[in-house]
Amino acid sequence: MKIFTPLLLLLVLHASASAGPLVIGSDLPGWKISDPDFYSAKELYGYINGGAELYLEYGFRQVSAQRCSRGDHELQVDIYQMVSPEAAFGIWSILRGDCPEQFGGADWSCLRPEQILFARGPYLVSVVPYDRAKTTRDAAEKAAAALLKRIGGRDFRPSELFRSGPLSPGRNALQFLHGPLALQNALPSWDDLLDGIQRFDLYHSAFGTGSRKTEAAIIETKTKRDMDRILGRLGAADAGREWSKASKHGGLVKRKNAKTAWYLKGGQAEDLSRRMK
Amino acid sequence: MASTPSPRRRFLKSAGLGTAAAMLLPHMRGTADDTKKPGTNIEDAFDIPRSEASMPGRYPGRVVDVFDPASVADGVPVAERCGIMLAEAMRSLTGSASVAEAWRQFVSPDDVVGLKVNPVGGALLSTSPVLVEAIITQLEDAGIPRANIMIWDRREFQLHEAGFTTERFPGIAIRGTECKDAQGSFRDETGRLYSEDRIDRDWYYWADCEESYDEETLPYMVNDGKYSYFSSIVTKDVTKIINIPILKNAGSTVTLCLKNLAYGAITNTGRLHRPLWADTCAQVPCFAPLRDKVVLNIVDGMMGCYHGGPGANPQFIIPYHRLLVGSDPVAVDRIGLDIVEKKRVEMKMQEKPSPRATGFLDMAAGYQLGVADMESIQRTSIDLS
Repeated sequence: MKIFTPLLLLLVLHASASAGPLVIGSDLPGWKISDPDFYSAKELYGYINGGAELYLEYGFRQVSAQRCSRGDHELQVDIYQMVSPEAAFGIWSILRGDCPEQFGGADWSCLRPEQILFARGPYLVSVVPYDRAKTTRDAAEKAAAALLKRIGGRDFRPSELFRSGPLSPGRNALQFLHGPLALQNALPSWDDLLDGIQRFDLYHSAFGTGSRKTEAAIIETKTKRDMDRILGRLGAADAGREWSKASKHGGLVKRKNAKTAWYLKGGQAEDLSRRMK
Repeated sequence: MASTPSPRRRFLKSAGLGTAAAMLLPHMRGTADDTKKPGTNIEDAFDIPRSEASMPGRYPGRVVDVFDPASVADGVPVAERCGIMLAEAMRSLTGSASVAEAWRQFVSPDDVVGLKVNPVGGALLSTSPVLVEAIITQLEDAGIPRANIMIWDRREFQLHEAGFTTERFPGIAIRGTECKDAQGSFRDETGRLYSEDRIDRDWYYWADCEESYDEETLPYMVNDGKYSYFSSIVTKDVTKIINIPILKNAGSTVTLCLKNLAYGAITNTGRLHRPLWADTCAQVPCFAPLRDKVVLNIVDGMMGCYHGGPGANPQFIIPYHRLLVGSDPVAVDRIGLDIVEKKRVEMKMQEKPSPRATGFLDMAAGYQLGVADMESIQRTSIDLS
């Protein structure tokens, strides 16, 4: 028995680690919490069918799905384990929409009557109350709060430019788009610029209103050739370390290195360019 | 039950075949990257000549868009209003004074009518059972025996989760290609997938791309490799199909009539999403079991979504308060796209319509499945406010 106890403990710990964070009974006293269903990357088609592609594009490990119920009240908890905090943030940034309120003080979170959605560490968590009853909504918030506390790890940290630098006004609208499907979902107006380029990271934000409306982006490609193509389409094939005009697309562009460029367009572009060294 | 003859097995496993076929067809659009796309057996689809029954059916290019702000209350479709909307749409589409006569333009009492719903979004965002009930009622009024009506999709268990149960639909067959037994197992005691008995290996969509699935995933795909087999529900069980997708986006385009048919009727779809999404949507409906059996498309737009689709993300689910009805799946999809695009622009999801969004529709029009050009579509709007 003395031999088996540590072994058993190890097995339990291993199982717990591979299952990832889950809603447990003490999170929602009085509620029935289902055993989780797990779906791996390939099984994701069985869970969300065509919706799977976007998650796979970012890098996906597994999702756990739990149903919590009490009488007629139900809520659904889905916890997507992505390959990195960046990937979790990326999906969150597409699904965030026009978010009215943060949840639990988490940077990358959104609280709505229909859903609580947050990215913490490599996890994207969705809690959906299936009815609008206060009981259900309260339970949804309790479950989400418990998960927020339970999930540790590093949250996505955007570039210094967006954190506290010149682009910080765009921090709350920042989107991280990792591949063509993300682009089609969140920023189809960039389709032509990135057409045919399968692998890229695009950090994009639109902020300001009226004459100060501005679009800012950091574009990273996997190859110099891809960046050459993008700059050519922007009309800035010769862009270098100084800001230059993007003659075809409008705005200003600066090539930071062979595979990275900064892009600004709109009312604040000139001002920001002077502050972005 | 009806069966459809097998296509002539002139089948060339040539990676270039699909591209070559595409070059012969009008209205194809795409980028230089199209030349790298995997080939398919779309040529096989043309071996069986088109008939009067073929898409786009009785009313090419015609779409009825019926709007009723009272069709949804507290986020739930209202049965009575739904029935009225459907009846108005059927009368308008056909010009018939009687609703029953309108339905009899498409189906007869001898038909076995398959209602192809979309239950993928679960209780949140699936074809509304209220709409399906209205369709069944009107079919019965038109003389179609209840025993000749089937609700179907790929996944039987998802049908149940979305509310399509025998309790709610007594006497109606509810069937999915992928199915489990009462114990929740996909396999019988020999390890064989039950789904194996629900596919027709004489009918397939071949594409030069493949995916291998692990043991857990295979039941959702039925088979791996380069073949996607048609469900025998489509090839054998039903004689007519009424297609009932839900109004939702897929990125900056939509997943409506063509997608609901293409991805709902065949196996092994996981491999097709990335390299051939548009092609699959446009090509699979070219095969006779779909092309010649789908008589009507009714888009459930009472509730729908404008972002986050095709998954169900509740913050983007809204009441559109409408149904779109037509025999032409391409025209109906084009109008649906217009509606969703306008909402996406209004909600600042995108600045303007994406020129790529119509790619699969132009391709389908090239295959003569319907009308994709907005200027050529006759849209009849009915406002029941």
